[in-house]
Order: sequence, then C-alpha cells, then structure tokens
Amino acid sequence: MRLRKAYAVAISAVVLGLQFWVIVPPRGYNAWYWPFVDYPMYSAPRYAGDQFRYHELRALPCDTAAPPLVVDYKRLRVTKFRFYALLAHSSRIVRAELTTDTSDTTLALLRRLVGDRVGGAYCTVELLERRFTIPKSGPVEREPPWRRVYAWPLDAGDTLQPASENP
Amino acid sequence: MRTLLRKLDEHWFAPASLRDLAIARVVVAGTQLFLLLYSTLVGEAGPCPGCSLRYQLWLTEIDPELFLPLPALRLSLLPFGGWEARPDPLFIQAVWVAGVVAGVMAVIGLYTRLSMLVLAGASTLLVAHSYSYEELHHPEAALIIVLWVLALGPSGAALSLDSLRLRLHDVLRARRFSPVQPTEPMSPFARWPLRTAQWLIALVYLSAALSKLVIGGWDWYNGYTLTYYLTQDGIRHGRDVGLFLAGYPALGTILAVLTVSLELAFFLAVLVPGLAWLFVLGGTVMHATIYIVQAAPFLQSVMLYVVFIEPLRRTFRRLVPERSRSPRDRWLVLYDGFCPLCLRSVVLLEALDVRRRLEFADLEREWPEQALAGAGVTRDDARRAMHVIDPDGRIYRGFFAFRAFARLLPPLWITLPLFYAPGASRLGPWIYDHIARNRSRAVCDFETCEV
Repeated sequence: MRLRKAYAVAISAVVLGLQFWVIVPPRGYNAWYWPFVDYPMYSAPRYAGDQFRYHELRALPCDTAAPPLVVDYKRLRVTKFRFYALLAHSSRIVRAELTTDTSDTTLALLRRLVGDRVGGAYCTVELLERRFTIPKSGPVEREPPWRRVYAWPLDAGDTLQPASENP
Repeated sequence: MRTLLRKLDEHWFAPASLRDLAIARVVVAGTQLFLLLYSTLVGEAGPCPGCSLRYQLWLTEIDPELFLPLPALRLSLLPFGGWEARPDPLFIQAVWVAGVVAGVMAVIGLYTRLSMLVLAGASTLLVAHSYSYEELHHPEAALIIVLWVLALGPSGAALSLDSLRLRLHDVLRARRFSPVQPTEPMSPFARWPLRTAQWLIALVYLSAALSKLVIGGWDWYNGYTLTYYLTQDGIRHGRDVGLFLAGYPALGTILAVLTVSLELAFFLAVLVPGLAWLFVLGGTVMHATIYIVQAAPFLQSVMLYVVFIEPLRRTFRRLVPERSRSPRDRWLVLYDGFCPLCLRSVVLLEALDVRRRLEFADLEREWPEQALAGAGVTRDDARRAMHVIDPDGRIYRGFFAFRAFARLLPPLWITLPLFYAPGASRLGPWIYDHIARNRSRAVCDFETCEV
C-alpha cells in the first residue's frame, strides 16, 4: 500500500512539478520541454491603429500572358509556420526594420528554397504584402490592396519541381 | 502537520470509482485514436496535425537543415536509433500503425496497461516529430500527458476486457457464478490519476491567465486586444462571426475579463467539487466560442474535462435523482450452473447489463419455484436451453432469449439487425440448439457436484 502510494505521489509530483516549472514565471513560448509547455497565446496587448500584415509569394511566368503561380509552403517543403515567418521576416528586412546579421541569411534561405522548387517557365518571384489596420471603431477594411515589397529574378538553370503530395 | 497530511492523503487517495477512471481512459484514449484516424483521412488541418500519417510522411521530405528535434522526440527515438536520428517514412508508418492498434486496444481495455503505454509513446513521438520543424501548437500537449498518467494508473480495472477476463477466470475457477455487488467498484488508487489530470488542467489555464496578466498587463483588457486577434484570425480563416464581434471593442473588454477570470479561478473546480460543473461548462463555452470565431480547435481540452466525471456525476444526480428499480422491473435469467459455456455467457451478459435489468438464477442450485409457478417450465426444459422471464411473466427460450437480450441491453443493440434479419427466426434456433446439444456439461468434473 505504502509503496503504491509512493509510486503515485512520485508520478504526480513529476508531472505537476514539470508543468509548474515551465509556466512560472511566464516567459512566453517555452516549447523546449514539450509536452510540458506554457500557454502565452494572444497575450500581447494591442491598440487601435495597430497593424498586422499577410504575405504571399508569387512566381511570375516568363510568358506575361500566363497566370502567376502562388507559391505555398507545401511547394517549398517547409512547415506553414516556418514559411510565413520567413516571408514576414524577409518583408521586415526589406523595409529596413531589421538590419541584423541574420538579414542576408534569411533572404538567402528564401531565395534558395524558391530556387530549388520553382523555375522553368517562371522568371520572377515577388513577395507581396497586405496591411490591415485596427480602427478606433467600426469594422476593419477587409480587402486592402496587395503591395509588392520584394522581387528577384529566378536563375535560368532552375527547374520547376513538382510539389510534394499535399498532406 | 498531521491534519495537513491527512487532508492531502484524502485529496489524493480517498477511495474513488474505478469505473470513473475507466471512463476517463475510454474518452481520452478514444479521443487520441479518433485524432489519429480523422487527421489522416481528412488532412493536416484540425486539432492534431501531427496525428496525420500523410502530414508525417510529408515532414520526412523537409530539408534536413530545418529539422530541429525537440528533446521529447530525441528521448522517444533513443531505443530506435539514437539521440541524433531522424525518423524515416517506414518508421513513421510503423509508429502510426502501432498507435492506432494500441488505441483500439486501450479503448476496449485489452492488455490495458501495455496498450495505453504504447498509445502514449506513439502519440508523443509523432506529435514531437511534427513540432521538430520550428512549428508548435498547444492543443495536444495536456492530452498526451494525461494519456501517460492514465497508463500508469489502474485505468484498466473496470470497463475493460481485462477485467472481464479476470471475472471469467474467477467464476470458472470457483465453478459458480455470484453476481457482482451493485455498488460502484472503489479503490484508493483510482483517484490520483484523475487528480493529477485535474491539477494539470488547472495549471494550463493558470499559465494562460498569468501570461495575459504579466505580458499583457492592464492593456490586455482595453478591448482592442481581442479586436485585433479576432480580426487577424477572422481574416485568416474567413470567420465572419469573429470579424463582426471585432467591430465592438467594449464587447472585447467584457470577453477578456470573463476569459481571464475563468482561467485564473479554474483551480476552484478541483478544490470545490460542487463548482466543477460551472467551470467545465464555462470552459466548454469558451473553447467552442474560440473555435467558432477564431477557428482554433481545442477539442482535446474539452474532452479532457472527463477527468471531472466524479463531481459532475454528483451534481447531475442531485438534479436528476436515480430512479430505483423495483424487483418487478427485473428480467430473470435461468442458466445451467454446471455448464462452463453457460457460465461464460452469464458473465458476459452481466458485463453488458449496464442498466442492471437482469437477475440470474442457477437452475441446479437455486431453482426459482415461485417465479416459475404456473409457467410450465421444468428443470429438464431449462437444462436444454437458457430461459429468460420478463417482468410480465413472458418466457423466452434459447435463441429468442438472446434476441430479448439484444433488445434489452444497450451494448447489444448493434446486433439487432442480425437477430431480426430475414430467416433469423428459423436459422437462429437451429444454430442455438446445435451449440446447446454439443456443449460440455461439467457435472461430473466438478468436485462439488450437486446432482
């Protein structure tokens, strides 16, 4: 009986101890000890006038009459989160908000991933951005225009790789 | 100090229902099994992208440079290839299949401890792998921890094939069927896994509340914070309801206060059992609302509320008192106590009788003279086939007795089409009589042979 109780206490203490340790004090996205994680989602304060951006990557065909190709994370074989983080980071670098040593690395990685998976009939890749602003009152503008923030030519030697089967 | 220790002991080890713990096992393992199958059939979207076999196989194609394994994945892979290994497609498929098979076994309670451990291990490995590419979501974590905790507790001691096998073994060894007690099976070790899960959920909500209080501060309640997030997710996932609500910052303030109050006070659901229903209801409404307006699926969080089953059941019983069944509602089953096959059938029927409608009488040892007065059933008739007498005195024999069970016992309702299929009334009795004639009747094998 005592041994079984000690076993139960040990398991409960380890589980709850680990969970407590990762959440106190709140640090924000402490995922290293998954499945013992903290839960800081949506905890940053926001204000009227704050903006958020959505990004899109498009490959423009050499034949200007053909439609552009929307390049998604599946084609580049990166996770969705990684893909959009890469686009957002690249956009900030181009807008000169970030001038750290990682700037070149980020843009180079984006260009390499695109170069590996998109090519052939496509000559240019552009990074587009849509900006939403939180109004003081009333609904947000739902269809703000797309703006080009960055573009680069694709190397002629690149070939169009088929996208992996979508999960 | 002694009082504190006694209270702690009571909090964690007061006898609790093994059936409640088993229900938690069925729901939690069933949820994980559902996610493994559903995510694979539907795709990566949903509350567990890492449960999808297709998504897992796609992940194995990602550039090795982007593979940043979580420690949980490294630990899971240690027995299979070392700390630095990256799962290949064949290994991932094997783990997924093992998870699904173990999930089915865990739900029905076959080799429960082992199957729960395999399900927990496979789920940990798969989800940790999906989060080893710099992407992390939160819905799976708590459920996977609870799977481990239930696996390490006595969650297979009731509502399981293991417990049925044990009962069969006991009955056949004693060569006598004695009905189980109508009271709940209790154990001092049935409570701690549920308590651990309850406190884990409370800590998860506490983390969410503390983050908003510390990182967000008072500004988190300014109305525009929720407006911002509702707009962001509403546009991303096309949730018009979220975009509509985002137009009212004052409503955002009210929702923010309600959310943080619920998260911060959730531990009261553990400490004051009478309040558990309030927090479970509030949490369910909160998660459902988040899903409707922001498309964030927290199915696992809602299913995990099953660990509050004991206080919820008590509250429900206060509102809807249990109807006591009079002996007149009972069906009397006459069985041959010297026939091992009949004893097995009776144990099985008892396990399936969730509404406690059956009463059993061994025709050799407890011939019910009164109940059968005027019914015209002799012992010899009863020895040839199982007889069942309903509360109105109608008698069902052999195949028709089993057809009556299929109507009476909810777990057998699924077999009704078979019992009422065209030709079943002719073929059924023939099959029954064939089996009954050829069954062994261990009258002379029993040491305590009474006839």
